[in-house]
Amino acid sequence: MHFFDFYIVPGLVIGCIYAIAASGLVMAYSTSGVLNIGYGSVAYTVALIFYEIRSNHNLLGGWPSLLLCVLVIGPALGIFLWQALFRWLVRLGLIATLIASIGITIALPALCELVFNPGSIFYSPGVVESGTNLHKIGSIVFSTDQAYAVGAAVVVAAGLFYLLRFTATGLRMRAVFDSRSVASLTGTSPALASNLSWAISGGLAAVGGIFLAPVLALSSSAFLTLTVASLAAALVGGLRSIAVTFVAALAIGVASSAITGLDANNTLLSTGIQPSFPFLVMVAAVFLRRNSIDVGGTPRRTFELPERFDALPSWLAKVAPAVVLVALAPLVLNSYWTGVVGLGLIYGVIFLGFTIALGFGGILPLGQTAIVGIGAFTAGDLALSNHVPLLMALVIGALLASAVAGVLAFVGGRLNALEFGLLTLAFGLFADNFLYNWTVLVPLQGVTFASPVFLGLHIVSATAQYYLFGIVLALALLLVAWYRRRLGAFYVNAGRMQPALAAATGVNPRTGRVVAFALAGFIAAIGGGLLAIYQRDLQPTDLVTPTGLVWLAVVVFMGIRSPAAAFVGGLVYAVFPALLSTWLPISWGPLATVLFGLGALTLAQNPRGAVEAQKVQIAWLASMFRKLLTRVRTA
Amino acid sequence: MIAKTSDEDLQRPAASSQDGLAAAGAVALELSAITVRFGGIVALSDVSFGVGTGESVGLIGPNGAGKTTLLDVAAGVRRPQAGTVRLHGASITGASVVRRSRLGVARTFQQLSLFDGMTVREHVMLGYLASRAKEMPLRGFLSRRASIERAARKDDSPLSPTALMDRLGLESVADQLAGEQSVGVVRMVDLARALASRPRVLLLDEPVSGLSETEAEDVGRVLLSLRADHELAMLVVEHNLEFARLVSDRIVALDFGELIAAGTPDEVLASADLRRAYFGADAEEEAAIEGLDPPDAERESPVVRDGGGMET
Repeated sequence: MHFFDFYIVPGLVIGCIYAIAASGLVMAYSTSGVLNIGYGSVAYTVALIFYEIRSNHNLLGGWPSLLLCVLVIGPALGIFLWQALFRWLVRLGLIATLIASIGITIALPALCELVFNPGSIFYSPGVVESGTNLHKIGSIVFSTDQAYAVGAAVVVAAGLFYLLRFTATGLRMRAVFDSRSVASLTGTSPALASNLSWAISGGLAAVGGIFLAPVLALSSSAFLTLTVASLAAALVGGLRSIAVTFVAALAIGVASSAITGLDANNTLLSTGIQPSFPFLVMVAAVFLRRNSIDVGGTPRRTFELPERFDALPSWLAKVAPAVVLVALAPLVLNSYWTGVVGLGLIYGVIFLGFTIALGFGGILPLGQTAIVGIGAFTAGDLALSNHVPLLMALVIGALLASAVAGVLAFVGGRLNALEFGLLTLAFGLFADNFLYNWTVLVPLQGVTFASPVFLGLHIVSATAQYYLFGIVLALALLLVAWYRRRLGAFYVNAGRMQPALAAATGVNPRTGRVVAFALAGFIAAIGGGLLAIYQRDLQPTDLVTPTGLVWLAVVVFMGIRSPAAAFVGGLVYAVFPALLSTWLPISWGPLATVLFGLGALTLAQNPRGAVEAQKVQIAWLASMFRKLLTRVRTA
Repeated sequence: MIAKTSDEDLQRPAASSQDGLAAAGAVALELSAITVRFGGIVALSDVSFGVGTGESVGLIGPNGAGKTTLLDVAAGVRRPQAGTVRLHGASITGASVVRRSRLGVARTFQQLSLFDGMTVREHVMLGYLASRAKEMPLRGFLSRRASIERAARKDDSPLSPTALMDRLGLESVADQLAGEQSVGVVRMVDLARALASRPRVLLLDEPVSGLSETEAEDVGRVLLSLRADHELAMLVVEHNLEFARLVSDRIVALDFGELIAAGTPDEVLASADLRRAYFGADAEEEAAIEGLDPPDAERESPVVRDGGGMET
């Protein structure tokens, strides 16, 4: 009984909350084709609003606050996201909506932090005041909060079953789920059904968030776990069966908790495997799916520009101004700003990894920080423990990271872009929770990085390190330019655009993916090593998956297929927060993250990115200027 | 009429199965006892026939007959539950699409799919590179693209990218994005891409779908001349019976996944079984099939869903 009471029952409670959230995820996906991985952030936002209304400001009691959040705020947020964002992105395919949902994952919690400044909330009360009171039925001891969570799951399950089985609205929604076009021929409005399902999805996010907060914690990281667990359950349910999703979510909750119970000595099994369990389920669900997740057609004339290469003189003319600016910057900047711009150069190297993986290879690298971390920690360990020269250790670490990336790409070779993205996400979260907690790989205190030595020169000062970072970035850009001119890149591009057509032409998309992801991993890991040199040490918390999602959002915002955009993105990512911290109060710190997240949401307007859009505008201005000059001369 | 390949034929060495192919020389592509099921629906049931080197075989049948499924089986997109696919006598049943393509099986697609962001020339070049890859170290992965393309432009063989684009009338649009071309041009691009890989077997899925009558005739003439010049084995899935008659040495007709007729175009198009398949039981009283195209959607094709809707 001890095991059941202490581990199965709490697991069941968490599973109930996962089930509520997962149902909302499936509802939104089924009607609109949007897999919203920002779902946890929506739940977090509403839960935080509930906390502010009910506890922090005491504006309303528990039940009125719950009704307000579940019936008004949650649904309104759901409809807003659909109407203002996702319905415009759906035409760009599932990957575009997924990237936008990453923007939400980043922007919403940062926005909440900016607006509410919640700090660390140790306990967020639920609907009733006496939430922590304990009750006993037989040998089972449970809190009021836990009882309400289970009750909420039962109500949601019964409500959804009734809605979809016994009501005309449910019938219409199911018709739209099956075929939007046929449903509209029978007088059903697909738009109305989508709005309704996003409203319900928002409401369910609210329920999940409000009941999760007192049981687990009211923090964005806890809600990321909610997203992953519900996503795993939704994948087990084939992204269509709410019943299977519900059961899978319960099973994930129970199994995660049971693992802790099995490991009485609190070893790696409970500290590492237990939090990673939903990710392992996600990987299993992705691999065991009989049919691929439909990612929609490739959008025409939106992302794609023909791959064109300038002749060497023309290329030099283009890059020369940037090279001169970068080279001269330390002469005009003080050491602080030299360091900041140097950090931007490092991020430029890291971001090139995204450009190669997603921009050229069509691989969604949602767990890129794990690859970067493997390279950087290996380099640090080699240099510190084995006295390998740091720059050489950096290359060895990057080669190892590249090999891991290659193996990951090979293993996930038959998955489509979205499924592979989920695989990398699971790998990233697994690294966060398991690899980084394994002291054999990463010491508890992190890894210290000494200053690098090159040809007997100690590269210590900010300026010297700046030039080191600049040279590495230049080499990385040259490597990318070399790669783009190889036939391999041509094949990879073909495999990214149309895997079936490429295969029918004798091009193996799997090989292309392995090469692209391995190269991306190598370059990004070199960047990770430079980051560690810049910081002088590297902690496991420096390279966690949410950080990688912010990086991805920045690169997508700037332009995912352009190495120049990666360079600019790196500079913006480093310089913009530094500018904000210089000019604005410290409480405005999250503003940069909010804007980076919102940047990814502009994908619908600028699928080619901000840098490309600026180039177009500058070209337009230049042509207008030329026309004006011609007129003046004629006059 | 061509007899179905019997079980005895399958036991014999591949070369002897040529006996069943009257019009052909060596059998280039042989499909033996192919069976494909989608859940409870039998899409193909024990279908057997072959395509000889230098022979063009038309594959016809109403919607849902299993034509595209059979083409998918030949191309390696779909694995049959039973049966064998042989290429010049060697079994390729378990080979992937990529492997088959490298062995000389090329295909075009009914639904036009293009590499977005690639020009017409790049499409054709990709097919050419696929055929040349095995001659290059690491299949050309690290070779410089520009130098290979320069070499391709100097190639004066009949299936070189330049020659193909010239022959198919693509030279004037070679450096334009393929996605910006008309349906007729895109069909030609698809064909040129497939031919540039120097195939031994060419699988064509409704190559004139969406084209005008004149354009279809042009495509037919090009296919016939290519077949004659390069000893290509062609399997042409086609709805347009006139076009099928024009380009085929033999026609194989399917209905509900079963082979219902095979033989010369005149024999098959006149067969009662085919009329019944297209027009129903009263076919004998209908107008002669000759010269008529079947209606577009005589019957619903079996639908296989891919996890679309939602269940409670």
